[in-house]
Amino acid sequence: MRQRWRLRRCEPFGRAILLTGVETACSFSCMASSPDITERLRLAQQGDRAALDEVFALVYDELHRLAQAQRRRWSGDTTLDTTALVHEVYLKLVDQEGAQWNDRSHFLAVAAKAMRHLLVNYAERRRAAKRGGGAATVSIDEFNPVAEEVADEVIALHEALDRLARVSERQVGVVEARFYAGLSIEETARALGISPATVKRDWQLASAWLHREIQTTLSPP
Amino acid sequence: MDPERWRQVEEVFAAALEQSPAARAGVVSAACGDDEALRHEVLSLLEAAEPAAAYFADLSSRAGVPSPASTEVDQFLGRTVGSYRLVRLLGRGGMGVVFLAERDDRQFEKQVALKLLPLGIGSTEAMQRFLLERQILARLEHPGIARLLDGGVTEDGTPYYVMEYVAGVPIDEYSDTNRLTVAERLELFLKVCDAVDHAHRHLVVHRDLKPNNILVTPDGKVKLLDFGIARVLDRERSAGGATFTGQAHPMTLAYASPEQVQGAPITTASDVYSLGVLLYKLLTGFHPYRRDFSSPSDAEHVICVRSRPSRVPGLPQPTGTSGMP
Repeated sequence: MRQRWRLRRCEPFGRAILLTGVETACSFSCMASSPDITERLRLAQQGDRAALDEVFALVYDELHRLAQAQRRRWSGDTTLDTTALVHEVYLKLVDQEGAQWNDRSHFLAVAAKAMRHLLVNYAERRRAAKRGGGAATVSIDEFNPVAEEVADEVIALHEALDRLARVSERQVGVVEARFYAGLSIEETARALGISPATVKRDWQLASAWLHREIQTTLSPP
Repeated sequence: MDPERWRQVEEVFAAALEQSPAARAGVVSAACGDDEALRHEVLSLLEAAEPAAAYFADLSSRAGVPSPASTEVDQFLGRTVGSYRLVRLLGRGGMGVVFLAERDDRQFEKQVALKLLPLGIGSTEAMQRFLLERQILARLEHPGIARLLDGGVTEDGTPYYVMEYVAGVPIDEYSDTNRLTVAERLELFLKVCDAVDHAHRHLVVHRDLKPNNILVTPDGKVKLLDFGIARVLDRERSAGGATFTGQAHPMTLAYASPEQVQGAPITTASDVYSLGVLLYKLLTGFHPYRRDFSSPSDAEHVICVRSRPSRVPGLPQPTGTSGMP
């Protein structure tokens, strides 16, 4: 029987993602390593938007869950090993026997995007907590690697990436893979199906542009 | 911004990146023709590229998601940075990673030392120090100081600079293996003083003078290395000297001055103190403190209290009141 995914509304490729809770995220762990995600990944690659959103939601929740678990394992540390996380999520969610080489690459690109949204989510929680509203559902001991002072920058970067997406989705993909998932130039190239030289050029141009945008947002002229 | 316009920016930006930094403005002007806005935009982005690399390295660590993949050193070996190919690792530390590198274009058969600050190491302080060291080296031009040759940002945004590669051995080792006489040792030491004097005249305090940073080449030339924790005295932040000398930086206690150990403001006298320790070692074969430190507080005690030269047994005591404290 085909498993049914429990999905919340989550439209990372259109609008902002809704906050998801740790408890519900944990409910996915029992469905890990289903062959279904590989199938969905392939549908997504062929342009199936709904399949892509479903894969994204799964990856997002698993990332969040593993981020909290990683925190527990390394208690005392205040950073997230994002590169290890995206690879761990892959091993967890994708049935290794049925998977093909390009499944993994494509998966990492989706995972990088999910990592970006996870980080923004943490930043928004910080901001909400600072303002004293909206964050009532978040337990106090939840691990949040994003410090209060950085929250505005993380959100400014996220919004600048949304603006960049209007002119180059590809460059957004490069920044997500390099910055949020810590993928190497070669991994990024494979994940996005472009050449390493393009990755390097895109990263240089996009990071210069984004840096300028963030500065303008944070300290308007 | 519309996608069509962005394609144009991309194209000119990419063309400019293929040129040496000096030639870029010319290439951009030629490519943009009378499109002044495009020229302005591309030049602004080219200018933003280096600070952007530093910014993102810093942001990832401040946001709690340092990218470990990019700090791996192995991935750099065999790669080309600027026009240099990285041959092997010479050293690494919190202040960057140093490789032996060779000119890639075979124009010169020249070996250089190339220092990188991989993305991910980049805390704000590490990045500032890295860029500061580059500025410091740029202002020093002396035969006794390893020269800065080149610098820039790799394609993936890692800042680097290129220094003269010094194939030498630490000064104490050189003196001993070559069985130098006292006169020869003093001569060598004076060359070191010359180089340090040059730095001081340019308001640069090295702060980490020790044999491992003072190499002697096979033909007997002295070269000062590693201005990684050096500082410039005329910078406005030197006003808060005490905070700048905080415990975190990796200076070598065995050659450190009392003010360094105590975190007090640093002047050129700190280097002179280290030179004194070095001279002692060169002439006697022993370190003045004669033992290792068991802890930072032990070091502070030994350096600031117990080892005042006037209290070291066997040394002639100063006479009268004008002697050393």
